[in-house]
Amino acid sequence: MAITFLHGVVLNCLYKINGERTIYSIYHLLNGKKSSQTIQDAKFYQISQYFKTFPKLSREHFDELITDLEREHLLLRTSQQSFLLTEDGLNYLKTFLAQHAFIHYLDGYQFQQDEVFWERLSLIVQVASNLRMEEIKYLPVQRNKDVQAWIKRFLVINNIKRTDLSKMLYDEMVRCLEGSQLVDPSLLVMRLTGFRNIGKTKRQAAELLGYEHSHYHYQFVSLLHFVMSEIHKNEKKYPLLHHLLLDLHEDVPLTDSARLTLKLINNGLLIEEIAKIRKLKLNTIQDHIVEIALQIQSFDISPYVSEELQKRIVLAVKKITSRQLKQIRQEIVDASYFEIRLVMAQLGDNI
Amino acid sequence: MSVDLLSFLQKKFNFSSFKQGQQEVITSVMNGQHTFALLPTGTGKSLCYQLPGYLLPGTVIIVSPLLSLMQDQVEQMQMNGEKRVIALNSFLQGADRREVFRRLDQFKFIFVSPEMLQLDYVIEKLQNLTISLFVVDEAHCISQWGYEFRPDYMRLGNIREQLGNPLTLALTATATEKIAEDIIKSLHLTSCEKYIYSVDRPNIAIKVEQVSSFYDKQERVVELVSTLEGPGIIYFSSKKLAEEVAYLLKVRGVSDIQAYHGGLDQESRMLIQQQFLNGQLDVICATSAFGMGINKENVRYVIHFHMPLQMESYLQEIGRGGRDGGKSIAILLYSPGDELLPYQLVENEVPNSSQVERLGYWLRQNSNNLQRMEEFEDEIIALAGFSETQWRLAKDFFISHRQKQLKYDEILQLFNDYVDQRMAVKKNHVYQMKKWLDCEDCRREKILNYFGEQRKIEVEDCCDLCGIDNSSFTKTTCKNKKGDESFYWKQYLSTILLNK
Repeated sequence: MAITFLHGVVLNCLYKINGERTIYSIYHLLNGKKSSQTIQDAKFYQISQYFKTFPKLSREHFDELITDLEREHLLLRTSQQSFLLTEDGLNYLKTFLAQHAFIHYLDGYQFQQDEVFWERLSLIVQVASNLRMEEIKYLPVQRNKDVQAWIKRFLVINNIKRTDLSKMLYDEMVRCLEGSQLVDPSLLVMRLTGFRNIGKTKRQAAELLGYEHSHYHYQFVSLLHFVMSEIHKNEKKYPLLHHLLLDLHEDVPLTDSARLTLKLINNGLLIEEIAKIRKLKLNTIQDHIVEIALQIQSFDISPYVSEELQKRIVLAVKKITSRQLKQIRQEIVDASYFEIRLVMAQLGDNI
Repeated sequence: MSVDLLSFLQKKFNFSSFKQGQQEVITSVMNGQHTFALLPTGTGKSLCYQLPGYLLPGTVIIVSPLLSLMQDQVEQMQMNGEKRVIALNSFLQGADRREVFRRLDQFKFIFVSPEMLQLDYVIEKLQNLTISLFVVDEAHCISQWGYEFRPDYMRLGNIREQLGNPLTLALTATATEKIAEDIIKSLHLTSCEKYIYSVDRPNIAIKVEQVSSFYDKQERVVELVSTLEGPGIIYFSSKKLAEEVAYLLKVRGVSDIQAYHGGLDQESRMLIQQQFLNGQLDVICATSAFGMGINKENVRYVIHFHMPLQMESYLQEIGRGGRDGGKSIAILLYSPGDELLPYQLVENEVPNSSQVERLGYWLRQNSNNLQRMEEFEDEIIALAGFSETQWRLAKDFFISHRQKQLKYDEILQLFNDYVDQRMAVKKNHVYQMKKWLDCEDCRREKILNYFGEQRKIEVEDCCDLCGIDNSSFTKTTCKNKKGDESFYWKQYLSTILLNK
């Protein structure tokens, strides 16, 4: 079987984790698993841009990708579930990254709500187009009730004249899409539905443009992220479109469970008390705290690791350059894994 | 009265006249008669309750067996400007659900799944309404002899009584005499007007073509699609083949074609349906998931790549052709041994004896969980190795029997008998279908006989055995390939948003 774009993505991620995590950490990453471990790894290894960029990837499919890469001698198995890139693999990756500059647009972690954004965008275009033609009999392309309700609210609250709505939408979309240097806007525009013009499905679009499925998918998602980021950065330039994003931006993307733990910490409870109240293992609460530290730069970790120990761990991390806990632990025997992870979480990308 | 109905039809629905049977059925309902109506597919069954709904004071309740069909109908009605319509089914959750139940009396049309009618509080809520009409759609599901029998439909008679015996309309497109009687009896309708219209659709020519191999069949499809006047639908029994043949046709130069099946995501399914309706697609390679609730008037041919599991679904599927009254042709391609697949599919729908045994084992271990066995769905499916359809069949059966104060082993025994009976019924359906393929005189007459009718009229282009003039169905217009296939995004945006 041919090597697809998705193979390249997996290869890139495996390169970044450098055999220090199992291949399944990548599987969870692409699926967007909201666990502390996945989120931490995404940050530590600087692969958070791929977070949730291939949701609904099955384990079988993922295993096939790995088998293909191994068969093509791009990967070498180092233990049961970890792999390193071969010389060929490194060369392949180099070309891959050089040829596909558009992945610079990709920011899966930042734009986890890209699907909702797309549903809103495609629905509002359809609504505006039909409103303009005074057509009221049509089936909405998006069946998601929340999205439909959102559009209704949006139209009522903003009370824009129907001809103005489509004009504004046109202007803002052209303004925004023209800025995309790395992805052809056709990729997205041909999937939009309007009055008596039904948009293409993703497969039809991929076929028409001559891309294999995952290559099309990643370009589409990258373009979507470009659009979201552009609107987010220049709200004033997009008086209409920025509404589509307003409530989609979670300030602190925490798992629900970690959020509850944070609330209890803020109430002054100790780890042990929280574990007892929530009937959870101490380890789980510790995972939450690491997740919180990762997300909230200002979170004070000193109640859990002394300042002095923090300093020594930072030094060790910098010296070893690896992110494998085991190696760091060997360096500082009196630190627990929890303490090391917590300090690393606080450090984030600043290593 | 009838004059009023016609002007109301024109005003409210924008149709100039009734289709066959509609006026009679509506008049019967408006006269306060319980009514059973057999109307062939494509004749607008839903109008038979929508129109009286507007003229009668209270709420119309429509029991509908298929979730997807129900959603489609609700969306169609909403599209036509009716806001007071709602579907009560498992999709409705949480706050939405509470809100809907709080103001249930504000809806005019309430679609409800049979599962929901198993819940006491749903019944209580419905009891508080003034029900002007109780509609049972796809009523053949009530009958054990029907090909789509649903155990949870059996309780509808009791539910009717709980709701105070409201005026009832039972609708179906396929039912033999025996099934019709069964339906009326199960609904506890003491007096009932029957309106039975011929299942015959004279504008559809019926053809069976024998080919010698799978390869020949594929080649024949390519040939047919390139010569027949579209739009057309090709039905398959498997998603995989629908995809493969769509691909093959594309490679052979048929450009406006797409595969459609339950494996696609919702957005793609919606778009493909709409493209077909809008004329952007000419051919659909589909599984039986396609077509329900879609009103495309001008389908000119329906090809069956596989033989359907029974006459009833065959008739439903070919009935998607020629709804505008124009000529349409149905072609079923048969190659020797094709009947093995439907037999296999039937076995996959009904649990086999060892699966029933394993279900019995689970029940023995968990006899106190009988009342909430659906919560252990994953566990049971894994243990018994049920397919989705097999599990639904088992679940429906147990849910509808456990209220009867029976012990699990008693229900299990009943289930065993039931499963044997279902298997026999279904195998007989396949057998009948095969017998029809092998018949040597008029195919249309044989279909009519199957549904207890006699052939009364001569039909031009009747069937392959009576003779069909193929030229009636061949392409007249040679569609020129669009010269410029390039896509200009700004141009397209301006087309849809600025109408330029």
